[in-house]
Amino acid sequence: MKKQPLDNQTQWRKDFPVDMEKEEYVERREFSKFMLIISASFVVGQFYIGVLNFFRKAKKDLPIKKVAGLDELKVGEAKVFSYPEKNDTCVLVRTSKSKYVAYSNKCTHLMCPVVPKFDDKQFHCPCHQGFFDMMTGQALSGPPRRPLPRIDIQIKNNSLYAYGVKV
Amino acid sequence: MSEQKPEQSIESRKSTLAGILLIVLCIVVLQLWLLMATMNAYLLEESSVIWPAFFASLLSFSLAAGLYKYIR
Repeated sequence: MKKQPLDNQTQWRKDFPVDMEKEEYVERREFSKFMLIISASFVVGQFYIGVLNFFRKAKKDLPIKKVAGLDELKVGEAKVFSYPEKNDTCVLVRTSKSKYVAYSNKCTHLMCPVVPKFDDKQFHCPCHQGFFDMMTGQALSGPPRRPLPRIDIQIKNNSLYAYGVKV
Repeated sequence: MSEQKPEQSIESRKSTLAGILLIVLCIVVLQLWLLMATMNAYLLEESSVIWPAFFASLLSFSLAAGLYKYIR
């Protein structure tokens, strides 16, 4: 559409002579600038993950910590403990007379605590109906995709000790 | 004739801007995907993809910044 000269326009247009096409152009350019800022923030985020990974690698070996006595749990019983830090809650399960398994008890979906279901040999997350295999920690169904981190357990002096975490 | 020139110019610039905007949007979506994939790898303790993904994201940003500079 051809523009009218300013002298032929109404008074309010003369008072506020806005060139809409130019305005639109500036808005798009501003939007491009905004997208560029988002792009830069993604790069910063990537770098931050790299730094976190570097410091995680630099961490010393995990401590050895007593979890329970050898006969403290009966077959089909579970015990909640903390490893390696106080806030890292885990669950120890006695699956048979000679077999113990331990996992982080935080669901890999949204960190809800998982509950052992011995009849199905599964861990159940009641928040969003996630299920994990009790023997391997693998996610079986529901929203979680990643397995439960496994806690390495060793038997020493009639006690169970945690000495590592495998993700 | 001389009055039409600035209009054509801004139209042309708008088309170029729309094209560049589309490319920048694709780059940002790619970077978002890279960030999600890197976070997933970090949580799975697979550190081999973290730095290549960072450099890919940096390259994408450089491309977007180059395009932005071009339209100013």
